[in-house]
Amino acid sequence: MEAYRPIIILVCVGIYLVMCIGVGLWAMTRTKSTRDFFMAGRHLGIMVTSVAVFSSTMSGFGFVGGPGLVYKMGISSLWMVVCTSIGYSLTFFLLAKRLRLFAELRDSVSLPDAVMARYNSSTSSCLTAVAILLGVMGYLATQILAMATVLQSILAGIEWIGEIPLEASVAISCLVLVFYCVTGGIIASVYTDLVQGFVMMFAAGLVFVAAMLAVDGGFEGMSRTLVADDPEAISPWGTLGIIGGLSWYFLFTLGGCGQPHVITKLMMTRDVGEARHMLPMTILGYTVSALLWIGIGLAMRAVVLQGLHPELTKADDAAPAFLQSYAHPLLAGIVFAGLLAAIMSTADSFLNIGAAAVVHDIPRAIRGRSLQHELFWARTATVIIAVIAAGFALYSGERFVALLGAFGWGTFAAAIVPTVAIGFNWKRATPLAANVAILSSLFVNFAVKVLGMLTGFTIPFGIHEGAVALIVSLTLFFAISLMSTPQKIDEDIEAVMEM
Amino acid sequence: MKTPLILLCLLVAMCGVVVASFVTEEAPTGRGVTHSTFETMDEGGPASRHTHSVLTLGWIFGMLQVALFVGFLTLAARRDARGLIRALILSGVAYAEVFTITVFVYQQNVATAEAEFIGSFPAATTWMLFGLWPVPFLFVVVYVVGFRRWVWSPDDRERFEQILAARKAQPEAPQ
Repeated sequence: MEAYRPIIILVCVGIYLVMCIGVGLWAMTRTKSTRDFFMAGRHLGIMVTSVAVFSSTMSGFGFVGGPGLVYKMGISSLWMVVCTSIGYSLTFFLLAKRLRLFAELRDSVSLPDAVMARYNSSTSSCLTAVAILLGVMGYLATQILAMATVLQSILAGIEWIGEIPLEASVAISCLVLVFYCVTGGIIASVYTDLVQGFVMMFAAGLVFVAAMLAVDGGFEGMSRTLVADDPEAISPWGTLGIIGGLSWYFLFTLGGCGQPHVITKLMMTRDVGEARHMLPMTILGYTVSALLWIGIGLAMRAVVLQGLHPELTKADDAAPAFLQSYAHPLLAGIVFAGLLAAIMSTADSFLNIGAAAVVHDIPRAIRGRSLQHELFWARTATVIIAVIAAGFALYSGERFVALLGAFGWGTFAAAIVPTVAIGFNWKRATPLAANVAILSSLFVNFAVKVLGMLTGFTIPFGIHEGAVALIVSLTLFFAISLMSTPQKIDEDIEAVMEM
Repeated sequence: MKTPLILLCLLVAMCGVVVASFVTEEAPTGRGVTHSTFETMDEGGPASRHTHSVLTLGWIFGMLQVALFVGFLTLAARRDARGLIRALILSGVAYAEVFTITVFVYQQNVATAEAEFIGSFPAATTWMLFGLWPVPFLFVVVYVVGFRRWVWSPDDRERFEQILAARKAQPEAPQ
């Protein structure tokens, strides 16, 4: 069996990719309008939405970066995991009902549409769309790079294929992604998310067991090894320390309500009442998937400390190294498919909201109306965005990708949490406050990143710049709203906000 | 109006925590350093890096977060849903207690310089993983159990149908 490991992995990944193409073809028959392309006709049921919400949140970062961070920093990165129960509670309390009702009332097909309905401001809507587009480009470039790197490492294991250039790997992986995103729009995206979510949960559950078996004494053995080496690494704060760890907790808890690729799914549900069942299911799905993050990270740190495994070349190798050394070939195949699933389930959502920003939101904010033949242009924009993001990923250099990466989770959080999560629940919030919050989120995230690159500046105690940007934008949002003249809200929107 | 003002005060206090972090002394291993043997790992070094002032600042930061999260949850509640607001606040108190216990147990371990285990992990880590992670599930229970009463009642549904019908009846409804 071991001799066929690369082939088994390739077959598992191949089956998964073919499944994605199949879902794309099936979804194409159900995509007749822009509303279908961006909102899945607002017909998503409980299971599909729950899985789509958690699998869009758990990107490739969760399956590669997460275990790498636990290997590197111990418990610190688990603050991004333990925040799930409170984070999703905030998302559902604040947004599940409001977003869905706004979407139905105004036939909204995107988040900026809902912002327009709430604030009656094309500037707020346009700024939201621009923030989304910048974030999409940054996130998508890193996701495409991760997807291509994974595929490249899988293919490298096959003798008759050997090492292929990164460009070819980007082309192959993007082709599948773009195919199902273009043909089936968000319908293909959420139904592939469904498959991807189950693959991720199944893979994570099995890996967690494998991780416990890999170290003598199971979890307690790992724990005692880590304590013997450095007690702080296995303390609740990890090596990062209490203040840095809690800044991650803040950013990832509250920031969840500001991730457009996640919260847009709440606009697509069949019925508002179903949110009641979705919340626990979403948390359960994410928690099970996160077992991989915890299991591999702790196990790899322990086996390296015990001298049972050579030191990794880089922390992000934790997951691939574990799969190569400690997982059954079939399990490794499923997990590699799960890894691609985690990356693609996030990337497809970004492609969709990015296309909506380009062909729907920005033209509407500037010209007051959408493009003609919107469905055609939405498909075209999906291809163009993927090509540009792939270009950034391949040719812009690490520094530029890192800069783009700054427009990721932190920017979405600081821009969208005040404007959408708070503003949709607080009638006193004003468009001016929303605009300032969005601009401040872009400025703070970008400025800290640039300052860091130029002068080596960091915020003390490892406080995440995204957390600072979120605190600043929320403070400005509340202060400006309370100080400025209240704006008139449309009667129907006001009535929905009172529910 | 009261809740947003309270939230603004909490946020200003959080800005204060960030400012305070610039003037609080940070130990050389304050945010971890490269491991002495393995270059790709970090280590936290002695637990004394968490001095009393650092731990206090961290505890304040965490408590402000808990208060802010609960405040945001109540912002989503209808003003007349007093039962919901009460349930959220009570759950928030439990949440804050578990966080405080986590910090307190860690502080005790720092003081005694030895790791007391509960189950497979050091005691404070056990409180984080098996206390702080699941305790906000109380909010989920409140949401699920109180959904029809406080979040989306049959009356709300009926009212929304009326709003929707009225909007559709408008000759040129703005989109």
